[in-house]
Amino acid sequence: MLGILYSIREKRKLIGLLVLVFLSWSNLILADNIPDTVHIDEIVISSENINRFQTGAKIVEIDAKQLELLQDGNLEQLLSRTTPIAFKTMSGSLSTIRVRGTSPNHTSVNFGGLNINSLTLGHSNVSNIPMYLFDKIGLQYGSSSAVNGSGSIGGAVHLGLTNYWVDGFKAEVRSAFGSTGEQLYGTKLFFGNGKWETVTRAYYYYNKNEFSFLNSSTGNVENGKKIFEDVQKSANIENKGLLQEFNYKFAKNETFKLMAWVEDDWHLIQQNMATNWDNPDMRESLKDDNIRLWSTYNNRKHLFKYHIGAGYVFDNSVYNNTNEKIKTQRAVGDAYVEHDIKPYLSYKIGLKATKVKTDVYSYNGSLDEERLDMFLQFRYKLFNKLESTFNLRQGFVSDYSVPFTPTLGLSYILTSKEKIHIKVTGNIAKNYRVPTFNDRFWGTQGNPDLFPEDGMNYELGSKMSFWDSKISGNLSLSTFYIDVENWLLWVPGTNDWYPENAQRVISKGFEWQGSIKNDVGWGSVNSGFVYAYTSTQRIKPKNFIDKENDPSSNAFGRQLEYVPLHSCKIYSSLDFKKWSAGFDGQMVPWQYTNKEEDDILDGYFMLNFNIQREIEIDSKHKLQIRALINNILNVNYQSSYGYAMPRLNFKLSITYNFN
Amino acid sequence: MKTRLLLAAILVAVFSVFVSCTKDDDNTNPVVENAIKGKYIINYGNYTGTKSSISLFDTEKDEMINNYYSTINDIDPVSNYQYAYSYEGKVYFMGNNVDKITYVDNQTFVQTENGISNEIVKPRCCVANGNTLYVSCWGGDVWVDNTVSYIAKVDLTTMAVSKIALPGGPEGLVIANGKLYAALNYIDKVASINLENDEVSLIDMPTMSTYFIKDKDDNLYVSIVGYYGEVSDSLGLGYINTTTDKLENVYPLSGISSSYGSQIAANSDLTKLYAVAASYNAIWELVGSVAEFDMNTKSFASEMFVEGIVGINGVSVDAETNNVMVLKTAGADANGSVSSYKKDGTFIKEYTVGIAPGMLLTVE
Repeated sequence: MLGILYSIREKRKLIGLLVLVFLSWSNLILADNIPDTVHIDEIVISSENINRFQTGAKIVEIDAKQLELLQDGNLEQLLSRTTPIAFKTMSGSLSTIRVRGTSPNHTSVNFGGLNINSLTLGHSNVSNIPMYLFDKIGLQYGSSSAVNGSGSIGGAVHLGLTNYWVDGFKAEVRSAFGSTGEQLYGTKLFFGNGKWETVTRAYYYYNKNEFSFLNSSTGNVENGKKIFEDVQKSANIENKGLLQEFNYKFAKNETFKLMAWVEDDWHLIQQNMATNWDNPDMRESLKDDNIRLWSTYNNRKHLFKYHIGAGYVFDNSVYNNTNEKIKTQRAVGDAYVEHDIKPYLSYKIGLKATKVKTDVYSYNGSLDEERLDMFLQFRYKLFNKLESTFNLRQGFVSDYSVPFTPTLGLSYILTSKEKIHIKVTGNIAKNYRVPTFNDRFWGTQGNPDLFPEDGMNYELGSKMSFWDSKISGNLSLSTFYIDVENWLLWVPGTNDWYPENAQRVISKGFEWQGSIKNDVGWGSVNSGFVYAYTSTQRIKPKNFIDKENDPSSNAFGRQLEYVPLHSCKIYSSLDFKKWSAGFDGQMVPWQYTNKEEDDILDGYFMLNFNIQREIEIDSKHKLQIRALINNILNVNYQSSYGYAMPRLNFKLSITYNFN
Repeated sequence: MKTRLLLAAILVAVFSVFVSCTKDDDNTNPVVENAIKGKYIINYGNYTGTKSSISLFDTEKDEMINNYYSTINDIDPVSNYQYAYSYEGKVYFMGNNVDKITYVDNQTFVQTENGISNEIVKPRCCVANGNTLYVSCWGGDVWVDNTVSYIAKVDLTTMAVSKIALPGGPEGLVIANGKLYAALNYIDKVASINLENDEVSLIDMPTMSTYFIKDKDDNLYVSIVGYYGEVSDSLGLGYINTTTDKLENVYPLSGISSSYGSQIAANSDLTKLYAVAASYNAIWELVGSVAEFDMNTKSFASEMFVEGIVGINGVSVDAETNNVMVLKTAGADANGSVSSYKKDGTFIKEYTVGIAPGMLLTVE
């Protein structure tokens, strides 16, 4: 009964919130006077406007200043400090993303036209995505299967590069050093004549990853002391990467681009606190080699704009120097035509084809698979106020059935005045994920007859932007409801674990965020906050049979593991002449780590500080020196149960720019 | 200015909410005033998450007291216990993440020493003879290099460890007819070790094996489970004559479990042996079952003792009542359960235990 009451209360809360989103601006609607010009939120990642046909979806670009601040780190370190997204992470070596309460397999990570998630595991280790190589990070919250295909149930990350069309030569050299034994050496070289350009980005990252923490898992019983000061050992990381671009501009709207990204990543798997205490020399390594190639030809000179893309991905993972192969390759091609029939009516039609080849020790021989996606997208604008998009996508996978995925999105401009712009958005999307190769073909347990995970995503949001001569900012509220059926889990069998469409999960909540920039005369202050409420619960599937004392039913109707119910981030920075200083803080409450009630991760509040100084040697030579002080409060915390994370630590970076 | 004040107020409000966002300490572990000797369920736990827990099966009150070790010792286990063994006043736990042998007093369950980890790498099972505890150790990635495994000899007075090299990944151990036997998990042999001089001889097997049950004549039943995914007529129960050190017979049991933990168990008078197996049900689904073997007639019963069990993880026999205890897991992130059955297969009761129950240990 309590569960039912709770459920009703939650639904009421959500409905109330949805109503609030609309009503909160109702007074503005009445007084509105829409000008002819409208505020456009375009998110362009690697020359692709990723939100043009996704009206109503929440797509944001990470603030350039925050990206610059965390360029020495990885994707997890950036997003965990700047967004409400949850991560389960070990210290710098392995992190998995959980957008809006969904699983790591439900967020696609996109580089050009490639979803680089592992075909065997279904997700990416986002610790192996270095921010130094990228200029932009786009983030889509909520489902985008109709646009990004299989797997984009909870969200999508877009790794972006900016075309500078350099005329001449410019360069950057960077090095960074951290107190955990961290070193980063990177360079970016740009060379071109304005018509063509070559851009080389390379980095070498090493982290001894030694840091002190309070170890509560020593098992000591001999002198009554239970918690000891300890130092994390054998968790070294050594990553190397090269990203080479070649871009050619035939004309203003006709370009060819080629991107090649090679990663060679190695780390010692961090041991839990108990092993670190008893056996600090224990070493288990994981090596990942990745090659990602993507090339595109875009012609947007004519009424019919078209795009052709082709790419290739090679992934190889080696555990502890064994001969157990986990290799996959895929070749990807896509093409589409975009046509603006009228200024207010456009459509886009295209297809994407993928050929997959695997060489995995536990599969029954080498497997081949073909995938084809066909899509049709419409965009319609009415009176400059209402915009709608309608997407249709049908995927085909050899010997496997994939659901049809339509999406409808709407946005409505409530007001667009000289100093304020407000719009509300809504989105309904069907989503799906094809089971991974491991799910279908691993050993004797893989099951080719598994159903795809599928579900629905409902979204409603509003965003207000305001500005005047000294102050500007925005405030947004997004609500969501995601219902995923046939959620795949590996469950215990008689001899081995096996995958099963075991549960249904509903995730609902809201994200509230705001930022403000204030010009105070002698400098400027940038501040912001993000708060997210994410209620994610297992729901008994339709065919679930209740059994007395069935332990598997323990966690129905309860918050999912490693999904914090609340999440809050704040930041503020002050720019003064060539100086900049700021802080950011994140509040993470307690989290469940399994289906039981005992093993809880404690909540924590972490505060970080940064300061930087730019030195202009002359018009062509510039230095930037930055210091980061992380976890100023020296908080002992865990992100993954039983694994230590760094307390107070420091990082110093120096960047030299030429031209 | 009003806007800024409003935003500041919002931020303060948000953080006010957050500072109260910590979960109350709702530890509801029972306080056990006096330790109860008896029967314990060894729950393996999650290899990368929550570690082992021990459940006390209080037969007088017919209830399961979970987290018993933690309650008694006011500290959680820091390893995954693969096996437990009661000997000479102590219970020894073989933990393989972290690699450690932990021991408690078998009457009070109190741990007073930190255990042994030196020279102990991936301990699996153990058995004692005199003042020596023999521990099968994988020694590392035995699936990559099967020569790294060994038998650790622990001097129970000094707790000093010496080694007997034993390639092949020893798992189950038993002492019979004055010899130590080790089932080898990565080669088609069973090792027979002379306890006087530690000399190792090997017994040919059709494929790999895991656990032993000793019969009244000091001969051995051994579970022959095959390699990963192996389907063979040679799978089942083997019978080793410990006088000749020969495999005399194989009693086929298709689908005999290759999992670790208590996969075979015998009743107190050594007349019945129970083995976990997979079998097909009426609609041809592969489900967990327990097969019953008559040790007198040396034959399996025509029907499964119990079948259709989801998440079966092991079988044990209550030595006092001869009830059959079926251990079930609900995954590495949820508590498992133990179901008890009378010897005629009648279901009695189900008890919730810790994560991944692996064996029942009876302390005399």
